[in-house]
Amino acid sequence: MPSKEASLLQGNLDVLILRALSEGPSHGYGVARWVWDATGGELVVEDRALYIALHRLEERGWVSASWGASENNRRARYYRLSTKGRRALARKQREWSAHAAAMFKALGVKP
Amino acid sequence: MSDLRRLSDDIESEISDHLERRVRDLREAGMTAAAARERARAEFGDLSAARRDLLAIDARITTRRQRGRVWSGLASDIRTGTRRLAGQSGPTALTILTLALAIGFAAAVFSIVDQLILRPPPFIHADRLVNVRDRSRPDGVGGGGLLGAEKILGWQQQPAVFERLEAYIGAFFDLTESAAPERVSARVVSLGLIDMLGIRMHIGRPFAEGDGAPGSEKVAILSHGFWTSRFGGSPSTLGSPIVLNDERYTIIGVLARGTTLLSDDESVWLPVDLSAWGAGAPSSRFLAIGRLNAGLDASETRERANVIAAELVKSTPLADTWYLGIDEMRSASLTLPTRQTLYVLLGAVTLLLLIACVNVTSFALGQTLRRDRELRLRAAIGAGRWRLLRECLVETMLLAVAAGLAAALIAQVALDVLLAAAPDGLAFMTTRTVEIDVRVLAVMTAVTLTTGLLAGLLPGIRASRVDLPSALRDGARGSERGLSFGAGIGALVVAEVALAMVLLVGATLMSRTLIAYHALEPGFDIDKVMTAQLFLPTHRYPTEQARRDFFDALDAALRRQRGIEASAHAWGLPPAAGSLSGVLQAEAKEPLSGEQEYFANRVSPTYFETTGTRLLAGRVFTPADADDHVILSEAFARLLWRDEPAVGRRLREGSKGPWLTVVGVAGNVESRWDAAQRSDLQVYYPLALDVPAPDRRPGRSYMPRMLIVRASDLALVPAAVREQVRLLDPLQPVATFSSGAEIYTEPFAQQQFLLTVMGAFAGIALLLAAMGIFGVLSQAVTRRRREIGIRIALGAGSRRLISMLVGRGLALAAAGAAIGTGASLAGVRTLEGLLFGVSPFDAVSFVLVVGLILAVALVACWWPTSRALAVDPADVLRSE
Repeated sequence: MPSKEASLLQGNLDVLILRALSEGPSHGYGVARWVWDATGGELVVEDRALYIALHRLEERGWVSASWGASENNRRARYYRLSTKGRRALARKQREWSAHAAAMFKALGVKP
Repeated sequence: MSDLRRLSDDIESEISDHLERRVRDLREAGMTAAAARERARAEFGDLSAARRDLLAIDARITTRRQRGRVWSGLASDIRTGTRRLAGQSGPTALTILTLALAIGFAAAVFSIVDQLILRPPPFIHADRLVNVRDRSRPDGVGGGGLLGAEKILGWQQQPAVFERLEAYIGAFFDLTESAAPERVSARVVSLGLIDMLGIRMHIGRPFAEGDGAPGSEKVAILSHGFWTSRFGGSPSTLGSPIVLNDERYTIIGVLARGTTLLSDDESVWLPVDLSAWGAGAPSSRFLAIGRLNAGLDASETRERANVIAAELVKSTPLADTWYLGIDEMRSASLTLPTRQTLYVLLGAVTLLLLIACVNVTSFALGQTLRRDRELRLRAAIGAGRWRLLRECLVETMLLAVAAGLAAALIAQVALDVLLAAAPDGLAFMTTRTVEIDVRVLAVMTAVTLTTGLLAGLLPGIRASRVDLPSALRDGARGSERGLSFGAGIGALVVAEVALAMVLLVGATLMSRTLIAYHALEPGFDIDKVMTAQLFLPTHRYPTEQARRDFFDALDAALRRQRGIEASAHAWGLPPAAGSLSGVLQAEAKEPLSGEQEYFANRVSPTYFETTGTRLLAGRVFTPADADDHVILSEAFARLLWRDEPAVGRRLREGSKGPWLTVVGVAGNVESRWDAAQRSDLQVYYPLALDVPAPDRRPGRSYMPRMLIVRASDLALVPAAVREQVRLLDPLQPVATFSSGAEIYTEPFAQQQFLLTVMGAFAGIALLLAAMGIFGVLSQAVTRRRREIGIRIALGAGSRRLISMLVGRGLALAAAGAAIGTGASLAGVRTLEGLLFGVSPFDAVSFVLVVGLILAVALVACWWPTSRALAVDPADVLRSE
């Protein structure tokens, strides 16, 4: 999937995962697909990092995980945004837009 | 670790699910299976690192969840436990109250023992502090104990032994500026004492160089208690005057609360400048405290001091020798009986605490019995053993913590009660009041938690060990299968009875001691006399004639008061009035072999009439009697002259003493120093006009006298005496009043105190034991209602029922008494030395106590038995 080399900061990956799950519960692969599609393949995310981030978010209580059946009737782990996670996403989105606006302004470029 | 295994399985499934989906998508996009797999792997990254990291995170999540579950489980246990206990508010409150009382008293006693015995005196470098006494010989024998100023000054210059050496002495002063003159207890201390001991000032300054020197401003420091009671604790007291013995002193400071040197009654501290006092001044003697040189080995202290003393006598001759007695100050200075009293008290309160602990255990066991059916059901449907045990522990912990909190409040009150009941002078040499402090609270907390744990353990283990097959077989019916549980409670009741018995035996022995003492013939009318201490100052009453005039006028005035029959004055009143020792010799006979200890008293002519001391031969004193006339007790006369008449004969003390003529023989009176030591040898001297004045320092001094008043109603005496003294001499204070009976029981004050405390503890213990027996039988009646009903229906007589239940109750009590007898026999040894007229293994006491226990057990059986007899068989059978 990754074609271009672009690093992704940990915090940014968290926001992306929260945003992905805000569309609805999903398994890890679904989250990876969403990130790929949403960024137009611009951002490279190693799957390993994605899963670690998911489990960390679970530890922090921002997402909750449960086992369900996959389409081919195997065990699949589904993640869902918790209330705490939803609030965290809203906060991160605000912070991001303020940050981005400041960066754009400073660098003199238009989004 | 099955948890970790499960977690890594989960991680494995999640990863393979991801890889499968990715491979499927890639193949749909047209890749070959092998290429797709390789691509998916590559995109994922380091697989084994991923597994490791994820496992670490998941393990953390699991641990935290488990911990959370335990806490929420505990919280729910606490909630249900509280609800259950609240549902039985009566028994619960009683259990908590008894435990709280026990912990509270234990804390109070512990605080006394801790602060008086266990801890070193609260002075700086307490490990090197020593009491220094005067001795006339190097082996530490002889000498009066009190040191002259010159000797102290000399030793202060000997740093090889003493880093510092300071002096103090007790004294009394009349506080004369106020409307009601008062006699206050004072300490005269050398300038450096406060600094050496590290005694802190509450406000103001300690004594400094120049204080106490002749011609300097007279200054005084107040105790915290005196400052509070007399000056309202106002800081403006500093700099204001206080008039002692008609002299103005300026108050320069107030000591920290609780500071005491000799007793807790030390209102005023005055400075003495030993060097200004020193050479040439008439002797005044002091007690001394020294701090040993840090480099000195404790074992070589005496040796070193003796060497220096031997040298000093060459360079600086002294009236007596330079030798000293040096004793370590291990803790607050307590008399041996006081120390023993405190240990006995600690033992007694420990027993009480054990009983209360057993009581909590049996309460908790009773709870599991009540919930027997529920517990079996829950065990049957798979409740874990740990869970059932935890429930029990939570319940007893709740009880213990509630009791502990209540005990924190009770402890202070208990301490006040104990200190108020305690004989005077419980605390010496301490700069702190005995109080409930952090140390005591820590011990209390530990005791509380241990109690909760121990008390919950037995019932908890019982509850968790429900025997499943039998639980299923008859769990649904309320059958008699609680018997094994009942045996557990029975054992606890036996323990309670046994512990209570030890306390009862102790209290009984104490009361037998006091009864034995009071059964003695005092030899005078203790119940008809009241006494008061008067200290006549030599500047208003310079001669014995002046003092005699005062007391004669007082006697005449008092005899006119309603109910007052006579009055006298004397040095004191038996049993502990002045003791002397010496070699006695009757005229024309060889001196008696060995020293005799005897009691001496100086008395006015009306003494015998006033106290009711019988005169057996000769006459009482007249005002004209000279100092060489004496009256002897019968035993004293018999010792010297056997059956020959003593009146008119002469005796002397020592080979150089003046000859004394016997003018009368009086009946023996009870005279003793303490429970163990007594003597029938008594000698009375007249308060003659030619008594040489004792060697006293110039200026003011006081002649202590005991006024003795014989009255039909002693309660009227203090007011009458105060009034008549005020009319005679408005400046004269009257110190404490004590009745003859109070003075008479003084040598047994410790025993009286122990009797009060142990009696109260024994009462509580017996009540708890009775409640235990009552509980067991009530339980048995409740559980066997069905059986009882059937028996009655089948015609069993009430006699059989009674003998069954009462027999069980008495069996428990008897078993407890048997064990208690053994425990008491081992325990009473600690009372030896405190007992009088009764052996520690006194059979009568043991029989009495066992009888009392059985009687109380019978009473405890009464209610459950009558309830059993009232069971209606028809009712029981219908309800099944």
